[in-house]
Amino acid sequence: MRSILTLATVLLCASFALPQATATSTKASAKQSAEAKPVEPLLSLFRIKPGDPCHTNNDGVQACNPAGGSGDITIDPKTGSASSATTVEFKNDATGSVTGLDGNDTVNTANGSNATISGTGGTVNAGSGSTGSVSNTGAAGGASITVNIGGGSFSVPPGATIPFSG
Amino acid sequence: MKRIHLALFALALATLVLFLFAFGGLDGRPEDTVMVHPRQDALADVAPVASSLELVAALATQQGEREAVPAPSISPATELPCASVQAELEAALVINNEQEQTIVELKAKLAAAIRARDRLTFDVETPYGAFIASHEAEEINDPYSLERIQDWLRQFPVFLGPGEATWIAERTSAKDWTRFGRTSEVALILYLGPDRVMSEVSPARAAELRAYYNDEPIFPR
Repeated sequence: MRSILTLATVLLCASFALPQATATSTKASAKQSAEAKPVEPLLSLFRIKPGDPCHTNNDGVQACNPAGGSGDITIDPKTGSASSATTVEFKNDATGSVTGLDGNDTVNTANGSNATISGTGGTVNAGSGSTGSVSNTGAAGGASITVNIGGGSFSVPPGATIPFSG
Repeated sequence: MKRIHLALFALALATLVLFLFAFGGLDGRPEDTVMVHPRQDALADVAPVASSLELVAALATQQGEREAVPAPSISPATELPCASVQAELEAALVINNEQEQTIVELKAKLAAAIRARDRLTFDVETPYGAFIASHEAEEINDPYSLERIQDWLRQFPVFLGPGEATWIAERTSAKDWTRFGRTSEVALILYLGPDRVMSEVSPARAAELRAYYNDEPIFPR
Protein backbone atom coordinates (compact mmCIF):
# COMPACT_ATOMS: atom_id res chain seq x y z
CA MET A 1 0.00 0.00 0.00
CA ARG A 2 2.79 2.33 1.06
CA SER A 3 4.78 1.58 -2.08
CA ILE A 4 1.78 2.40 -4.31
CA LEU A 5 1.42 5.69 -2.47
CA THR A 6 5.13 6.45 -2.94
CA LEU A 7 4.84 5.63 -6.65
CA ALA A 8 1.85 7.94 -7.04
CA THR A 9 3.75 10.76 -5.29
CA VAL A 10 6.76 10.29 -7.55
CA LEU A 11 4.56 10.32 -10.67
CA LEU A 12 2.76 13.43 -9.47
CA CYS A 13 6.05 15.23 -8.83
CA ALA A 14 7.31 14.17 -12.24
CA SER A 15 4.18 15.44 -13.97
CA PHE A 16 4.81 18.87 -12.44
CA ALA A 17 8.53 18.93 -13.12
CA LEU A 18 8.49 17.69 -16.76
CA PRO A 19 6.60 20.59 -18.44
CA GLN A 20 8.81 23.10 -16.60
CA ALA A 21 11.93 21.43 -17.90
CA THR A 22 10.47 21.39 -21.44
CA ALA A 23 9.50 25.07 -21.13
CA THR A 24 13.01 25.99 -20.01
CA SER A 25 14.57 24.20 -22.97
CA THR A 26 12.01 25.80 -25.39
CA LYS A 27 12.77 29.23 -23.91
CA ALA A 28 16.48 28.63 -24.34
CA SER A 29 16.08 27.63 -27.99
CA ALA A 30 13.75 30.62 -28.62
CA LYS A 31 16.35 32.92 -27.08
CA GLN A 32 19.00 31.39 -29.35
CA SER A 33 16.85 31.96 -32.46
CA ALA A 34 16.07 35.52 -31.33
CA GLU A 35 19.75 36.20 -30.94
CA ALA A 36 20.34 34.85 -34.43
CA LYS A 37 17.74 37.25 -35.94
CA PRO A 38 18.99 40.50 -37.49
CA VAL A 39 18.52 43.55 -35.26
CA GLU A 40 15.54 45.72 -36.27
CA PRO A 41 16.40 49.30 -37.19
CA LEU A 42 15.92 51.59 -34.22
CA LEU A 43 13.85 54.72 -34.62
CA SER A 44 15.59 57.98 -33.82
CA LEU A 45 12.25 59.46 -32.90
CA PHE A 46 10.41 58.84 -29.65
CA ARG A 47 6.86 57.62 -29.78
CA ILE A 48 4.35 58.90 -27.22
CA LYS A 49 1.23 56.76 -27.07
CA PRO A 50 -2.10 58.12 -25.76
CA GLY A 51 -1.89 58.14 -21.95
CA ASP A 52 1.94 58.03 -21.82
CA PRO A 53 3.77 60.65 -19.72
CA CYS A 54 4.75 63.88 -21.51
CA HIS A 55 8.22 63.87 -23.02
CA THR A 56 10.63 66.80 -23.05
CA ASN A 57 13.87 66.72 -25.03
CA ASN A 58 17.03 68.75 -24.43
CA ASP A 59 15.81 71.30 -26.99
CA GLY A 60 13.11 72.22 -24.46
CA VAL A 61 10.26 70.92 -26.63
CA GLN A 62 7.63 69.05 -24.69
CA ALA A 63 4.96 66.87 -26.29
CA CYS A 64 2.00 65.45 -24.40
CA ASN A 65 -0.48 62.81 -25.56
CA PRO A 66 -3.16 62.47 -22.87
CA ALA A 67 -5.31 59.35 -22.56
CA GLY A 68 -8.41 59.25 -24.71
CA GLY A 69 -6.78 60.17 -28.01
CA SER A 70 -6.72 57.82 -31.00
CA GLY A 71 -3.25 58.47 -32.35
CA ASP A 72 0.43 58.56 -31.43
CA ILE A 73 2.61 61.65 -31.24
CA THR A 74 6.30 61.39 -32.10
CA ILE A 75 9.15 63.66 -31.07
CA ASP A 76 12.45 63.63 -32.92
CA PRO A 77 15.11 63.70 -31.55
CA LYS A 78 14.19 61.95 -28.36
CA THR A 79 17.08 63.59 -26.46
CA GLY A 80 18.96 66.01 -28.72
CA SER A 81 20.55 69.24 -27.52
CA ALA A 82 19.60 72.86 -26.94
CA SER A 83 20.20 73.63 -30.62
CA SER A 84 18.36 70.60 -32.08
CA ALA A 85 15.86 71.04 -34.88
CA THR A 86 13.03 69.17 -33.21
CA THR A 87 10.13 67.72 -35.20
CA VAL A 88 6.91 66.77 -33.46
CA GLU A 89 4.44 64.75 -35.48
CA PHE A 90 0.77 64.24 -34.70
CA LYS A 91 -0.27 60.95 -36.31
CA ASN A 92 -3.82 60.36 -37.56
CA ASP A 93 -6.45 61.23 -34.94
CA ALA A 94 -3.90 62.21 -32.25
CA THR A 95 -4.96 64.80 -29.68
CA GLY A 96 -2.33 66.56 -27.62
CA SER A 97 -0.10 69.54 -27.01
CA VAL A 98 3.36 70.85 -27.79
CA THR A 99 5.16 73.53 -25.79
CA GLY A 100 8.60 75.11 -26.10
CA LEU A 101 8.63 75.36 -29.90
CA ASP A 102 11.36 77.69 -31.16
CA GLY A 103 12.92 78.94 -34.40
CA ASN A 104 14.17 75.73 -35.97
CA ASP A 105 11.44 73.39 -34.71
CA THR A 106 8.51 71.96 -36.66
CA VAL A 107 5.13 70.45 -35.84
CA ASN A 108 3.29 68.33 -38.44
CA THR A 109 -0.35 67.43 -37.93
CA ALA A 110 -2.10 64.57 -39.73
CA ASN A 111 -5.74 64.04 -40.61
CA GLY A 112 -8.18 63.98 -37.70
CA SER A 113 -5.61 65.27 -35.22
CA ASN A 114 -6.05 68.15 -32.78
CA ALA A 115 -2.95 70.03 -31.65
CA THR A 116 -2.50 72.78 -29.09
CA ILE A 117 0.87 74.34 -29.89
CA SER A 118 2.81 77.06 -28.11
CA GLY A 119 6.29 78.51 -28.37
CA THR A 120 8.36 81.43 -29.49
CA GLY A 121 8.97 80.47 -33.12
CA GLY A 122 9.11 77.62 -35.61
CA THR A 123 6.79 76.17 -38.21
CA VAL A 124 3.50 74.32 -38.05
CA ASN A 125 2.46 72.24 -41.06
CA ALA A 126 -1.26 71.70 -40.57
CA GLY A 127 -2.36 68.67 -42.57
CA SER A 128 -5.80 68.50 -44.16
CA GLY A 129 -8.47 67.47 -41.69
CA SER A 130 -6.46 68.58 -38.66
CA THR A 131 -7.47 71.25 -36.17
CA GLY A 132 -5.92 73.11 -33.25
CA SER A 133 -4.44 76.38 -32.13
CA VAL A 134 -1.04 78.06 -32.17
CA SER A 135 0.06 80.45 -29.40
CA ASN A 136 3.14 82.60 -29.62
CA THR A 137 4.40 83.13 -26.07
CA GLY A 138 7.39 85.23 -27.14
CA ALA A 139 8.01 88.82 -26.05
CA ALA A 140 6.83 91.68 -28.24
CA GLY A 141 9.15 92.22 -31.17
CA GLY A 142 10.16 88.57 -31.20
CA ALA A 143 9.86 85.98 -33.95
CA SER A 144 6.55 84.77 -35.37
CA ILE A 145 5.38 81.19 -35.73
CA THR A 146 4.59 80.24 -39.34
CA VAL A 147 1.56 78.07 -40.01
CA ASN A 148 1.39 76.35 -43.41
CA ILE A 149 -2.12 75.25 -44.20
CA GLY A 150 -4.04 74.29 -47.34
CA GLY A 151 -1.37 75.56 -49.72
CA GLY A 152 -1.12 78.94 -47.99
CA SER A 153 0.43 80.22 -44.77
CA PHE A 154 -0.05 82.74 -41.99
CA SER A 155 2.06 84.10 -39.14
CA VAL A 156 1.31 84.08 -35.44
CA PRO A 157 2.99 87.14 -33.86
CA PRO A 158 4.17 87.26 -30.22
CA GLY A 159 1.27 87.41 -27.78
CA ALA A 160 -1.26 86.02 -30.26
CA THR A 161 -3.23 82.77 -30.28
CA ILE A 162 -4.76 81.68 -33.58
CA PRO A 163 -6.92 78.60 -34.15
CA PHE A 164 -6.51 76.61 -37.37
CA SER A 165 -8.56 74.04 -39.26
CA GLY A 166 -6.85 72.24 -42.10
CA MET B 1 -18.04 7.05 22.40
CA LYS B 2 -17.28 9.88 24.73
CA ARG B 3 -16.07 11.91 21.73
CA ILE B 4 -19.37 11.36 19.91
CA HIS B 5 -21.24 12.58 22.94
CA LEU B 6 -19.08 15.67 23.18
CA ALA B 7 -19.56 16.41 19.47
CA LEU B 8 -23.34 16.04 19.75
CA PHE B 9 -23.35 18.33 22.76
CA ALA B 10 -21.33 20.98 20.92
CA LEU B 11 -23.63 20.72 17.89
CA ALA B 12 -26.71 21.16 20.06
CA LEU B 13 -25.15 24.15 21.81
CA ALA B 14 -24.25 25.78 18.48
CA THR B 15 -27.81 25.24 17.15
CA LEU B 16 -29.23 26.84 20.28
CA VAL B 17 -26.95 29.89 19.99
CA LEU B 18 -27.79 30.24 16.29
CA PHE B 19 -31.52 30.02 17.08
CA LEU B 20 -31.26 32.71 19.74
CA PHE B 21 -29.38 35.05 17.42
CA ALA B 22 -31.78 34.48 14.57
CA PHE B 23 -34.87 35.32 16.58
CA GLY B 24 -33.37 38.23 18.50
CA GLY B 25 -33.16 36.62 21.89
CA LEU B 26 -29.57 37.72 22.56
CA ASP B 27 -29.60 41.37 21.49
CA GLY B 28 -31.86 42.52 24.25
CA ARG B 29 -34.70 43.46 21.84
CA PRO B 30 -38.13 41.93 22.34
CA GLU B 31 -39.04 39.55 19.52
CA ASP B 32 -42.22 41.37 18.54
CA THR B 33 -40.65 44.86 18.43
CA VAL B 34 -41.57 46.73 15.24
CA MET B 35 -38.81 49.07 14.07
CA VAL B 36 -40.19 52.56 13.57
CA HIS B 37 -38.40 54.75 11.07
CA PRO B 38 -37.32 58.06 12.67
CA ARG B 39 -39.20 59.94 9.94
CA GLN B 40 -42.40 58.06 10.84
CA ASP B 41 -41.91 59.13 14.48
CA ALA B 42 -41.65 62.72 13.36
CA LEU B 43 -44.79 62.39 11.26
CA ALA B 44 -46.71 61.04 14.22
CA ASP B 45 -45.79 64.14 16.26
CA VAL B 46 -47.14 66.55 13.67
CA ALA B 47 -50.21 64.53 12.72
CA PRO B 48 -52.79 67.07 13.98
CA VAL B 49 -51.48 69.76 11.57
CA ALA B 50 -54.21 70.57 9.05
CA SER B 51 -52.77 71.05 5.54
CA SER B 52 -50.06 69.02 3.83
CA LEU B 53 -47.96 72.20 3.32
CA GLU B 54 -48.01 72.87 7.03
CA LEU B 55 -47.19 69.21 7.61
CA VAL B 56 -44.08 69.45 5.45
CA ALA B 57 -43.04 72.74 7.02
CA ALA B 58 -43.47 71.38 10.51
CA LEU B 59 -41.56 68.22 9.64
CA ALA B 60 -38.68 70.16 8.08
CA THR B 61 -38.45 72.52 11.08
CA GLN B 62 -38.54 69.64 13.52
CA GLN B 63 -35.70 67.84 11.78
CA GLY B 64 -33.50 70.93 11.83
CA GLU B 65 -33.70 71.32 8.08
CA ARG B 66 -34.45 74.44 6.07
CA GLU B 67 -37.77 76.23 6.50
CA ALA B 68 -40.45 75.09 4.02
CA VAL B 69 -41.25 77.76 1.47
CA PRO B 70 -44.88 78.00 0.41
CA ALA B 71 -45.50 77.41 -3.31
CA PRO B 72 -45.57 80.77 -5.14
CA SER B 73 -48.82 81.69 -6.78
CA ILE B 74 -48.38 82.25 -10.55
CA SER B 75 -49.94 85.44 -11.79
CA PRO B 76 -51.06 85.83 -15.44
CA ALA B 77 -48.42 88.59 -15.83
CA THR B 78 -45.66 86.07 -15.02
CA GLU B 79 -47.21 83.37 -17.21
CA LEU B 80 -47.27 85.61 -20.32
CA PRO B 81 -43.46 85.89 -20.95
CA CYS B 82 -43.23 82.09 -20.48
CA ALA B 83 -45.57 81.48 -23.39
CA SER B 84 -43.79 83.96 -25.63
CA VAL B 85 -40.33 82.48 -24.87
CA GLN B 86 -41.71 79.01 -25.53
CA ALA B 87 -43.05 80.15 -28.88
CA GLU B 88 -39.65 81.69 -29.68
CA LEU B 89 -37.92 78.40 -28.76
CA GLU B 90 -40.28 76.37 -30.92
CA ALA B 91 -39.65 78.69 -33.88
CA ALA B 92 -35.87 78.32 -33.35
CA LEU B 93 -36.22 74.52 -33.28
CA VAL B 94 -38.11 74.59 -36.58
CA ILE B 95 -35.33 76.72 -38.13
CA ASN B 96 -32.72 74.37 -36.64
CA ASN B 97 -34.41 71.29 -38.14
CA GLU B 98 -34.61 73.00 -41.52
CA GLN B 99 -30.92 73.95 -41.33
CA GLU B 100 -29.95 70.40 -40.37
CA GLN B 101 -31.79 69.13 -43.45
CA THR B 102 -30.02 71.75 -45.58
CA ILE B 103 -26.65 70.62 -44.15
CA VAL B 104 -27.41 66.98 -45.04
CA GLU B 105 -28.38 67.98 -48.58
CA LEU B 106 -25.30 70.19 -49.04
CA LYS B 107 -23.03 67.42 -47.72
CA ALA B 108 -24.51 64.99 -50.23
CA LYS B 109 -24.08 67.58 -52.98
CA LEU B 110 -20.44 68.20 -52.01
CA ALA B 111 -19.75 64.43 -51.80
CA ALA B 112 -21.17 64.03 -55.34
CA ALA B 113 -18.95 66.88 -56.56
CA ILE B 114 -15.87 65.30 -54.92
CA ARG B 115 -16.69 61.93 -56.53
CA ALA B 116 -17.09 63.56 -59.96
CA ARG B 117 -13.82 65.51 -59.56
CA ASP B 118 -11.81 62.55 -58.23
CA ARG B 119 -13.10 60.18 -60.94
CA LEU B 120 -11.49 62.51 -63.44
CA THR B 121 -8.33 62.96 -61.38
CA PHE B 122 -7.48 59.47 -60.09
CA ASP B 123 -6.56 56.45 -62.16
CA VAL B 124 -8.74 53.39 -61.50
CA GLU B 125 -5.54 51.37 -61.31
CA THR B 126 -4.73 53.11 -57.99
CA PRO B 127 -6.42 52.10 -54.70
CA TYR B 128 -8.30 55.39 -54.26
CA GLY B 129 -9.14 55.61 -57.96
CA ALA B 130 -10.62 52.11 -57.84
CA PHE B 131 -12.63 52.99 -54.74
CA ILE B 132 -13.99 56.32 -56.01
CA ALA B 133 -15.12 54.64 -59.23
CA SER B 134 -17.02 51.95 -57.28
CA HIS B 135 -20.74 51.81 -56.44
CA GLU B 136 -19.79 51.81 -52.75
CA ALA B 137 -18.43 55.35 -53.09
CA GLU B 138 -21.92 56.45 -54.22
CA GLU B 139 -23.30 55.39 -50.84
CA ILE B 140 -20.87 57.52 -48.84
CA ASN B 141 -22.42 60.98 -48.76
CA ASP B 142 -20.11 62.50 -46.17
CA PRO B 143 -17.35 64.61 -47.81
CA TYR B 144 -15.14 64.31 -44.72
CA SER B 145 -15.32 60.49 -44.86
CA LEU B 146 -14.36 60.54 -48.55
CA GLU B 147 -11.41 62.78 -47.68
CA ARG B 148 -10.35 60.42 -44.87
CA ILE B 149 -10.58 57.37 -47.14
CA GLN B 150 -8.39 59.14 -49.68
CA ASP B 151 -5.88 60.02 -46.97
CA TRP B 152 -5.82 56.49 -45.53
CA LEU B 153 -5.30 55.01 -48.99
CA ARG B 154 -2.44 57.43 -49.57
CA GLN B 155 -0.77 56.16 -46.40
CA PHE B 156 -1.81 52.52 -46.87
CA PRO B 157 -2.20 51.94 -50.62
CA VAL B 158 -4.39 48.84 -50.43
CA PHE B 159 -7.18 47.96 -52.89
CA LEU B 160 -10.35 47.89 -50.79
CA GLY B 161 -12.80 45.01 -50.93
CA PRO B 162 -16.62 45.30 -50.71
CA GLY B 163 -17.79 46.96 -47.51
CA GLU B 164 -14.33 48.05 -46.38
CA ALA B 165 -14.71 51.70 -47.39
CA THR B 166 -18.09 51.78 -45.63
CA TRP B 167 -16.42 50.44 -42.46
CA ILE B 168 -13.78 53.19 -42.62
CA ALA B 169 -16.49 55.83 -43.20
CA GLU B 170 -18.46 54.50 -40.22
CA ARG B 171 -15.38 54.68 -37.94
CA THR B 172 -14.65 58.20 -39.21
CA SER B 173 -18.17 59.36 -38.34
CA ALA B 174 -18.41 57.49 -35.01
CA LYS B 175 -14.79 58.27 -33.97
CA ASP B 176 -14.70 54.84 -32.31
CA TRP B 177 -11.41 53.57 -33.77
CA THR B 178 -10.06 52.56 -30.38
CA ARG B 179 -12.74 49.88 -30.12
CA PHE B 180 -10.73 48.03 -32.76
CA GLY B 181 -7.12 48.99 -32.02
CA ARG B 182 -4.83 51.08 -29.83
CA THR B 183 -4.97 53.95 -32.33
CA SER B 184 -6.92 54.63 -35.53
CA GLU B 185 -3.88 53.55 -37.54
CA VAL B 186 -3.53 50.26 -35.66
CA ALA B 187 -7.29 49.66 -35.98
CA LEU B 188 -7.09 50.16 -39.75
CA ILE B 189 -4.06 47.87 -40.11
CA LEU B 190 -5.75 45.14 -38.07
CA TYR B 191 -9.00 45.54 -40.04
CA LEU B 192 -7.32 45.39 -43.45
CA GLY B 193 -5.00 42.61 -42.29
CA PRO B 194 -1.31 43.15 -41.47
CA ASP B 195 -0.18 40.53 -44.05
CA ARG B 196 -2.24 42.21 -46.75
CA VAL B 197 -0.91 45.67 -45.85
CA MET B 198 2.67 44.36 -45.94
CA SER B 199 2.17 42.69 -49.30
CA GLU B 200 0.42 45.64 -50.98
CA VAL B 201 2.45 48.65 -49.80
CA SER B 202 5.89 49.53 -51.23
CA PRO B 203 8.93 47.81 -49.67
CA ALA B 204 10.10 51.16 -48.25
CA ARG B 205 6.72 51.79 -46.62
CA ALA B 206 6.63 48.21 -45.33
CA ALA B 207 10.05 48.67 -43.72
CA GLU B 208 8.96 51.98 -42.21
CA LEU B 209 5.81 50.43 -40.73
CA ARG B 210 7.74 47.42 -39.44
CA ALA B 211 10.27 49.69 -37.73
CA TYR B 212 7.57 51.92 -36.23
CA TYR B 213 5.62 49.00 -34.77
CA ASN B 214 8.76 47.04 -33.87
CA ASP B 215 7.74 46.67 -30.21
CA GLU B 216 4.13 45.73 -30.92
CA PRO B 217 2.95 42.36 -32.25
CA ILE B 218 1.17 43.83 -35.28
CA PHE B 219 3.15 42.76 -38.32
CA PRO B 220 4.22 39.17 -38.99
CA ARG B 221 7.92 38.46 -38.55
